[in-house]
Amino acid sequence: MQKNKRERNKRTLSWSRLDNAAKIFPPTSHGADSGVFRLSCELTESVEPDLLQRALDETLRYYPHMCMVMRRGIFWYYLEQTTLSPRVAPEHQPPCTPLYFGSKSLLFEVTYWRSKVNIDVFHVLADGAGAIAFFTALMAAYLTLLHPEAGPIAAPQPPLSHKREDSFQKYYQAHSKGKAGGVRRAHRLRGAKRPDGGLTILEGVADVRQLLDLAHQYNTTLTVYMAALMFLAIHDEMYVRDEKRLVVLTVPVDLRGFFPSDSARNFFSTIRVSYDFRQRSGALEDIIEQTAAAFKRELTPERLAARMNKMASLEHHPLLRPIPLALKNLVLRISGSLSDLGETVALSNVGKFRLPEKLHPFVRGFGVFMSTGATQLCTCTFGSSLHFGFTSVFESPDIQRNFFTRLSAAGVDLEIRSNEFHKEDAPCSDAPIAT
Amino acid sequence: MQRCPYCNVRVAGNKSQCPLCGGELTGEPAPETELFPALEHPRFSGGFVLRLIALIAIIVSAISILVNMAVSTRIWWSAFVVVGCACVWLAAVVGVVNRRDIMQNIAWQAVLIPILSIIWDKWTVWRGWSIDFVLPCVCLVALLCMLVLAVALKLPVHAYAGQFGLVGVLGIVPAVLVGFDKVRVVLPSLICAGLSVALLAAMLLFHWQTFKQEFVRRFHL
Repeated sequence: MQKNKRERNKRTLSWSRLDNAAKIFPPTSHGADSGVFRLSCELTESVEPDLLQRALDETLRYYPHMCMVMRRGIFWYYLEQTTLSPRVAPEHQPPCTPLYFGSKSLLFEVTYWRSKVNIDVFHVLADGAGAIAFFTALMAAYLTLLHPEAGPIAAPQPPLSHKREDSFQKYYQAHSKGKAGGVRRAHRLRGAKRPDGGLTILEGVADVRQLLDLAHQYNTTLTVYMAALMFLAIHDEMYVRDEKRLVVLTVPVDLRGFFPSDSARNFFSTIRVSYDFRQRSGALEDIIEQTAAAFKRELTPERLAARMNKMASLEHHPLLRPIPLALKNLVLRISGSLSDLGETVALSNVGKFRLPEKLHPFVRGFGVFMSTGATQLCTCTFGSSLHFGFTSVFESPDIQRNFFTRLSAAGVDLEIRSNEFHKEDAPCSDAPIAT
Repeated sequence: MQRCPYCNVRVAGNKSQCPLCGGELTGEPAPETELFPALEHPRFSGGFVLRLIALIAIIVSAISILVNMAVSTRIWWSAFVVVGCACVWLAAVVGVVNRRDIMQNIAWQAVLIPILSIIWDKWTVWRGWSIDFVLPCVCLVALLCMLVLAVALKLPVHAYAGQFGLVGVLGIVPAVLVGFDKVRVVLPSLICAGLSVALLAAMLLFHWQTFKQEFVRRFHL
């Protein structure tokens, strides 16, 4: 308590600039596209809130940069250390609901329901990989508190300064030759949006081995196979006249795989993969071939560095920096909308969640959802379970249905979850049920 | 577990229909496999309050224009009502947007209210009441409110350093106006400026590091 008071009355607070990727989120986040993503973990037993709180308090000691609030400066937003301490709460809002409400709100939230733990994170704070590092550390801490017999687990941790590092700054090179490349209009999904302005949430669970077998039949990787299926799922809903535009998938790429970094903040870029249904056959084999070639072309350190430098050069531009924040927000919002015109859907393969072997028996799987202004698919694996997290602003889940029925037609055994259509319509209490 | 024969998928929980195709489900429901709670939808947010205030402002403005037209159009007094409504709405927007941060709210109101008054004063033949009374009184009240709240809520200085600095500097403006001989009734301006200088000096002398840090953060390029 005494320490807490001392902390509170400290004369100076640590603060940090927003990293390059984070800068786009505050001005462009609105409505369902809240810039918030959710990671969730399904356990085999009901969640114990007190233990979860203890685990959270312990884990935050090693991830102090999570306890930040966002404030407005004259020229830029910035993150400031806060003395607010996060409390775990029963799940009370749909996935990816906005978290930023001014300088008094924490930018992440830990919630639980029955045997599931969720963390919702505003993208300004961290990207998928950064949040996964925190979330798996939290779950490991919680499970070791719950099952002390699993023994103390000492996961190797990178130094704090590395986790706090802004890797965009570290790898930024001015005057590098990045091709500008204007935005070409892509096919945009159509359909009635949800009347409540929220997101349609659908989750599919499958065995990753079945999917890998399918991908290997086509001599390709899981990501390319899923991207190809996504192209087909979109094409199923397209009018013939829509084919004059390309179908474009935006794929976020974790830059840590290309540039060594332990940063737990944002360090990602995106690539765009397109397919022209008017010029090409539209057969799965052809789409896979095209997509694999595009991935190979785009996923090189040189291409990614060029793109990263191009994005960062805007932030370093001597004439743009002194523009007041309100004006910058306007410009960034417009450029964000223009950039959206160039994409159809987003597909993000978050990759593997890793926990110490001893804790595997207590965990069923992990899931990921990302807020979006259109439709987005996030996939992740844990052990042998592969999760597809679909979020969409459209009421009718056509793309999702096409995607899943194509998978099930290929012989994949799928389980579908939805946060709607509950038969007992009474709002659920947070009371854990006996399972 | 329930199954959708059309989509050929298993469906978790106890659902009324297939979440993919909307069709009928077969098989036994398994409520224990439900992964998402049925949630109450949020009732209303800040956006609702703003819309409500905007609606009231529009209704009042419309009625005043109609009454004005019905009675006589020799004097367009309803213009004052309309602009007055707009000003009240603007102040309400600032209030609602900053409702979670009381210090921020006070600071923005201290900037907004004098600006609106100066515009009114200018528009209704300049008599100087806006800079004689409104500007110094608003700054004075804002500074005192911040001081009382800071003490009552035991807020650390860094929680309000930026806003206090802003209102403090604004509080010195009346003295500058007196210096340029723009003010007719000088007493409120002098009291306001005196208190601002005293409070700012006290804060800067005893909390120099905090204020310096706040300045660096707010103005970083």
